[in-house]
Amino acid sequence: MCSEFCIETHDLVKTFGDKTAINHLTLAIPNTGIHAIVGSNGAGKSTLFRLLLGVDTPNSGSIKVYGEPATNLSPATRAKVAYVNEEHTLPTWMKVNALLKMQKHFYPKWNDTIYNNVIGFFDVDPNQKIAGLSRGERAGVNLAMVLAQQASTLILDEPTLGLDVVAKQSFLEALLFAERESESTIIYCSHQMEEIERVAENLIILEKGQLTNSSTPEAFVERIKSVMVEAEHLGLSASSLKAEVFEKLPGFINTKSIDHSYQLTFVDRSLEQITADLNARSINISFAQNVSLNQAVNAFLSKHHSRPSQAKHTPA
Amino acid sequence: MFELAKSEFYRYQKWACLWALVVLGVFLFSLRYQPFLYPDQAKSALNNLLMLGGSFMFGALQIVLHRRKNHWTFLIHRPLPSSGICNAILLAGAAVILIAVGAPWLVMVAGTDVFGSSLVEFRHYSYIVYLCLTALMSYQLGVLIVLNASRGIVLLVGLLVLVLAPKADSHLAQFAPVIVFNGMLYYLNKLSFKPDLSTYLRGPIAQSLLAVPMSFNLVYLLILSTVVFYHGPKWALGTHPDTNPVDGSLSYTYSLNKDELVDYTLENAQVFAPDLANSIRLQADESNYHWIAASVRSHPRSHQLHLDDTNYQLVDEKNNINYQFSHRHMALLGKHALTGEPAGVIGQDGFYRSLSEFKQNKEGAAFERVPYLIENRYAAFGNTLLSINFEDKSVSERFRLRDNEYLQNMPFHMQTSGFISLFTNQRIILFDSQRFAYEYETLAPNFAFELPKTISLTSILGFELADGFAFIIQDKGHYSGVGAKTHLIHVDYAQNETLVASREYTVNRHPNWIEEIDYMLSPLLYVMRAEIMNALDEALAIPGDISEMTVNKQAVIVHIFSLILLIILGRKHELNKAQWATWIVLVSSLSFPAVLSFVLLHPFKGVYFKKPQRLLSAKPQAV
Repeated sequence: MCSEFCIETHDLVKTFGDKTAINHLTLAIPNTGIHAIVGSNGAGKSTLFRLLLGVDTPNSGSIKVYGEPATNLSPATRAKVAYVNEEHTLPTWMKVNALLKMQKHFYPKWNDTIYNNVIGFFDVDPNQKIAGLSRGERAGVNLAMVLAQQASTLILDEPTLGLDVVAKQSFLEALLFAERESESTIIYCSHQMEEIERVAENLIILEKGQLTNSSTPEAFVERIKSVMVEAEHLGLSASSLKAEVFEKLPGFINTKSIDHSYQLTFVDRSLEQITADLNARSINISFAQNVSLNQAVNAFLSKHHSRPSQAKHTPA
Repeated sequence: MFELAKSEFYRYQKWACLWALVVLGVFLFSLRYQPFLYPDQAKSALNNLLMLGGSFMFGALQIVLHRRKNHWTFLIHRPLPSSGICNAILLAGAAVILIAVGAPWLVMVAGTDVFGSSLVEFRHYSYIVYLCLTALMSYQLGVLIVLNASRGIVLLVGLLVLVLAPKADSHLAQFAPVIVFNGMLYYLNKLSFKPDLSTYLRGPIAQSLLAVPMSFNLVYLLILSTVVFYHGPKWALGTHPDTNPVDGSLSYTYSLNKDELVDYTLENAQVFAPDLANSIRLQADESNYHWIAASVRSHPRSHQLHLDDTNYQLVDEKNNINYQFSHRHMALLGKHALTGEPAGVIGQDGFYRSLSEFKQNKEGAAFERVPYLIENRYAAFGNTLLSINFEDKSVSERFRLRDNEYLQNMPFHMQTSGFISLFTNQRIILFDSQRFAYEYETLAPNFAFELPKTISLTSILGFELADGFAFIIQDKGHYSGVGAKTHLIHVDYAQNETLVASREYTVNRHPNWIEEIDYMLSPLLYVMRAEIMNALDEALAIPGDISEMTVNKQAVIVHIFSLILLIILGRKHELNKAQWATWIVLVSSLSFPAVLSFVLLHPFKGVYFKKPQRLLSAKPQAV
C-alpha cells in the first residue's frame, strides 16, 4: 500500500496501569528525511516505538506503518522498517559472519556493499562472537546489518547510548554515509542534542506522551527566546519573583538566576512581546540572548519536568 | 525459518550435549548397582523428574530469554510471519530435547542391545519415543506458560499427570494422549506466539482447549482449598476427624486394634450367626492376625513399556543363567549372565534348549499372557500359577483358578501364620506356605472363601482361629462413603464359609459437601476423571456412581450460580457472540471451575478494578 507517510498515529493512547505513556498522540511522519524524536525520560518515546513495531497494543486510537495497522504488520511491511534499540540486541552466542549469513536470508534487498562500507567504520573481526564485541563494535555490527537491509524506514532508539566518543563518532559517520547513499527515512531518538543538531531535519518533541513540537530544529530554536533581566529593585526573593512575577508572563518556560540577574526563557513569544510584558511589570531587559538547540530543548522540556515541591526543600 | 531455527539450536546445542553426557555418565554409573533396563519405580520417578522437569524448565527459560523487552523485538521484528518464527523456535527446542533426552537413552538401550546380556526388544526402543514425546510435551508446556498472557495457564501442567498416571492398556492408550496433547500445545503455542504477548487468546477454539484442562486441574486446587476453610481450622481447633474418629463411620474402624475391630463390627450389626460371632469375639484377642493385600494391581500387558514391568528376570543361580520374559516370543529367554550367550528358553510347558526348538513347539509352549514372576520360582498369569524348577528343568502347573477368575495381586506371604494368600477377583485363597513351596504336588487351598460383593474393597484382615479363619472385609462403599460396610466371615477347616455379620456405616466423618466437593463443583469433570482412569485401567477406577451422590441439589445450585457469575463477568469483558456461546457451553457443562477458567483466561487489570486514569482527560497541547 502506498502512503505519503511511513508512520501515522491518530488519537493514540497507551496506558500502563494508571500511568498514561502515550496521551492522545496524533502524528504523521513523512516518507523522507531524518526525524529526531526527543523528550525527557518517560515521555513515551520507547513506548511509541514498541507500538510502531506491534509489540504493544494501544488502548485506543490508531497507529499505522506504511498504511498497515501496527498491531498486525505483514512480513513485507516489517521488511520495510529496520529497528535499532539502545542495547544493540544481537544473538550473543553467534559469530558475526554466522549472524550476517542468517540475516541475509531474511532480507531480499540485502546489500553487501553497504554492509561492508558501514562495518568499515568499525574494527570488527567477522569470526568473533557477538558476546566478545565491545559495545561500540556491537553498535557498528547492528547498524551495518540494519542499513544493509535497505529498509525504507530506519528507527534508531538512542543508538549511541553508552558509546565512547570514538564509537559515537564512527556511528554517526556511518549513519550519515548510509543516509546519503539511500533514500531511507530515519527516525532518530536521542538525548544527545549535538547529534540531533548534526543529523535531524525534523524535530519531534514528546512530553508526557503528547506531541509538543514537530518542526525543523531551526524553526524550533526560533520559538525559544531568552533574555537577561535585572529585578533587584522589586525587592522580592528569587522564589517569590518566579512564582509571583515570571510565571505569570505569557510564554514563560524557565528562569535561571545568574549573580543578581535572571535569565528568562520564553516560547512562542517575539522579543517585542516579551519586552512589552516585562516593561508592564517594571522589569527591563538587559540584553537578549541567542539560544542553541541544546539550550532550547532543555529549557522547553524543563517546563514540565517533575521537581520536588518547593515547600519540602525550602530551609526553615 | 530454518536459518532462525539453526541459530536458536546453535545457542543451546553445547548445553544439550553436556546434559546428555552427564546423564549418560549417571546411567553408566548406575550400572554398578542394577541393570540399565531394570524396572525401578524410584529410578523411573527420578528419570521423569530430570527429563520432564528439565524439558519444562528449558522451554520456560528459552522463552523467558526471548521475552526480554529488546530481545523480543529483535526476534519478532523480521520479515517472517509470527507462526514461522514460532516454528523455528519450537523446532530448535525439539532438536535440543532429542539430544538431551533421547540420545542418552538411545545410546544406553542400543548399547545394552549390542553389548549387554539383557534382553532388549522393540518395546524398550519404543519407550525412548514415548519419553521424547512426553519431554516434548513438557517442553511445550514450559513454552506456553511463559508465552501466554494468562498466568493461569500454569494449571495445564496437570496434563502431564493425565499422561503419566493412568496405566495404559494398549499402545493406543499409551501414545494417543501424549500425541494429542503435543498437537494441542503446538496449536496453542502458535496462537500465543504473537508480537504483543500481553494480549490474551480470545478465539473460541483456543479458549475451549485451554479452559477444559484448566478446569480439570482447578478441581484439584478447589479440593485443596478445603484445607484453608475446613481441614485447617479443624486441625487448629483439635477437632479434625483424623485425630478425633467419628463414631459410627467406617473411618472409626481404622483407629481400632484387632479385637476392638471385631467388637465394633458386631456392634449394631446384622448378625447372621450369633454363636460363631461370639466364638470369634472370644478368640480374637489371642489369635494371630494378618492384613491381606487387597490392592488391585494391573496385569502386565503384552509389549508394554518396560518401565511398567513388575519383574525383571528369573535367575538360575547354579548355572548362572538369567531368564527374561520376551514379549516378542512370549517365553522366558535364557542368557548366560557373563557371556550373554543364549542358554535355552522356558515356555509355559517346560524348558527348551534353544529358541528354534521352542519355536517349533510354539503353539503350546508360548505363555498365554505375560506373567508375574514371583520369588525366582513362580510365574503367575491370568488364572494359572506355574512353578519353575531349575534343578529338574521342569515347569509344573501348581494351581489353576476358575475359568473366569484371575489374580488381582501377587501371592502374599502371611509371615506369622505361614500361609500364602491369593487375592482374586472372586475369592481369597490361603495355602500352607510349606506345601506351596513343595512343588511336586498340585496345590489345594487350605482355606478359600467367596468375596462378598463390594463396591470398593479397601482391606481384609484375617484371624487365625482354633476352628479355622475369620476375615473382616472392609468396603469403603461409594466415593461419598454411602454404602460403607464391614463383613465378618468365618471359614472352617472343611472350607465351609459363613457370613457371620455385616455392619453398615451411615455416618460420614466429614460433611457430605466436603466428601463430595469435587462432584458438587462439577459433576461432569468428576465423571470425566473417573472415566479417564477407567478407560485406561479398570484397576485404578474411582468409584463414581453418581446416582448415589448426596449433593446433587447443591451441584445444581453451584451450576446456576456459575452461569449467573459468568453473565456478570462476561459483560465486563464485552464478549462477542461466539465467545458468549463458547463460555455458556463451557460453564453449562463444567460448572464452577469453568468460571474460574474464564477469569484466568481474561485480563484482570483495568477490568475488575478500574483506577482513574491520570492525564487521560488532559487535552493534547497545541503544537
